Amino acid sequence: MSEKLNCWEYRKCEDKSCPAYNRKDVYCWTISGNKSCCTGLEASNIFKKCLGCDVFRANALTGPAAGFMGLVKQLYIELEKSEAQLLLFQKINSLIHSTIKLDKTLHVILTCVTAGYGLGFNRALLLLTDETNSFLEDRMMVAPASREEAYRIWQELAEMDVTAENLPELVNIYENSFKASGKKYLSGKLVLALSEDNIFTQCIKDKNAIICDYKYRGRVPEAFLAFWGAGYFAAAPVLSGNQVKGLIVADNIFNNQEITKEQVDLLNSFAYHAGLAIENALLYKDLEKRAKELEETNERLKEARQIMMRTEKLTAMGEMAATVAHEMRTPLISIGGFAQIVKDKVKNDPASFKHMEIIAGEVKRLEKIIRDVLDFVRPFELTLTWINVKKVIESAVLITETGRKKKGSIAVFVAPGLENLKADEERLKQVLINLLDNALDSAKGAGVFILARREGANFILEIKDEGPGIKSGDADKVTRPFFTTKKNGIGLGLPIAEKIVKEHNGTLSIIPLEVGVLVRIKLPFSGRKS
Amino acid sequence: MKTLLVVDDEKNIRELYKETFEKDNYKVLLAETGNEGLDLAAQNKIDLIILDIRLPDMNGMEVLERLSAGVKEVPPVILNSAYPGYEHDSSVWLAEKYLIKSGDLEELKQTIKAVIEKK
Repeated sequence: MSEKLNCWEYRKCEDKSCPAYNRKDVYCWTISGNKSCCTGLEASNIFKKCLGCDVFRANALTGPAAGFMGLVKQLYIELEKSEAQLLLFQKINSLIHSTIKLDKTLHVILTCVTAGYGLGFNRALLLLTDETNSFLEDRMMVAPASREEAYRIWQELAEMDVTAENLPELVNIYENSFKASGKKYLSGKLVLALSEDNIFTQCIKDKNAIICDYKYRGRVPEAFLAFWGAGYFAAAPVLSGNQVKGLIVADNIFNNQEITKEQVDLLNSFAYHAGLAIENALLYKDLEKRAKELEETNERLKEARQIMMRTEKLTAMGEMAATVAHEMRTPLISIGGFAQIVKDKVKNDPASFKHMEIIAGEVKRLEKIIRDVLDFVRPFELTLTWINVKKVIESAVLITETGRKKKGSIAVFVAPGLENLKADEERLKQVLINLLDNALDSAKGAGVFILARREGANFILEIKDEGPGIKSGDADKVTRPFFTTKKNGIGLGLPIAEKIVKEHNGTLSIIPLEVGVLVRIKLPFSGRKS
Repeated sequence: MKTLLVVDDEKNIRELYKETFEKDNYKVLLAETGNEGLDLAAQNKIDLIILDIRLPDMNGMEVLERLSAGVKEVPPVILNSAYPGYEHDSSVWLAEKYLIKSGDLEELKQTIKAVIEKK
């Protein structure tokens, strides 16, 4: 049927100015010798259509022009394939250059090497150099589940035009196909030294791709053979500028197809772009890291500024507290002193006596608060002398127990022959009193122990109570100023004790026990080092 | 009867000390300023001085130093202040004791007794 039709009839152009129009000697436009068709189509594009046209086939592939046209057709098919490949590489390149996440980039690169009729390898492995540039490590491997699947993904991509808008969509196709394979590649299975002389280092040195066949059999590292399971493959260096970034290894292990020179050339130019993309991704990663570091520094700076502001505020408040405390002291002396005088005078009036006792007692309490506040906010100097620890402990125990109903509940254990300690006697006593007060309060009738001993160059003092201990939420708060669980405390006992111990170059630690709490003080025997 | 000299610029404290120590059978002389105190110490036979540190005309240390220079037989001195922090002043060593003022006069009373008995 088609033999009797002109191509314009067959294709229904119906253009009367076509050179083939109404001619019976020339049926086909292609062989009419004209450069362009009257429909205005580009020569190459109309030629594509001619290849699928029955009129063209009937006229061009038979008769005298057949040999020549057959060649043209074959060349054209090659050209078409190259054109498609070129287009695809453009897509791949823009894709990998637009992907800044390293893993994504790497995966895109390997998929490109293996999928469909791109490079068409069965599988591909990417090796990257380590940070010290002395080893090649396997980073990622792609082997499609089946050729069909690979082809499908490739086809999908080939049909899309790459624009800024659909780039994310393209990336997603890669991503999803990656997920579909179900496995995330775990690197670290293969490490090759760059200092050795083998096929890979040669490939890197020459900066050129290589087909590794029987000629190179002896130059493939054993470790690689064990890992890869095949000795026939192509390898191309991944370079960025002069720097070696890694190596792409690919082969056709499933269909055993020969690796052609063309394939390797493509692999080579592809690896070059891959190098740039990896460099991009690494730079971006570095940038991200730097940004994060900067953010962290900024955060730390903010914290430091806050601490500084808090410290300044505390210092100002401390000064104010000290002034107020001082000013309160003098009137309190009069109140307390005269209360005592009146108290003695009203001995025979039990109600008034009790009231005066309360006044005197409360003045005492206020005086203690003032003393604590001043101790806490003011810097003090230590008067260091060699002191007998046992005596200091006994004196502190006596003072602590004074005014308490139950006496003798503190057990003292001082290591026999314990040497004298260089410390401020009064301050150390104050530490002991504060800690013993706490221990007795928290023991709630249970035992309290003091242990003093030497440990190397240090003096160790432990105060232990067998009370209900510290509530878990309070553990890190107890040394905070003004934190207290007591009705009558202002929460400075422990902070003052800690301050004094620190002045002595020692440490104070609070150790919650299964039963009760242990406070351990460690002091250097010879006093302050400074 | 032993004689105590109280040097303190706070009227209430002077009265408190006077009443308290007279009850304990001491003769009590009162001075408001350092100079007044030095004068009284020169004119009377004093057994013990209770000296405040912050005074309007001079501070207690200065009183201590002048006392040692001007009076033949220097009585023992108890420094008595609302303010800690003078412990490291070498002049403090001229005094028998450095006490922080308190509404509870027990410690002061005990110290006075001990110093006078020692003398």
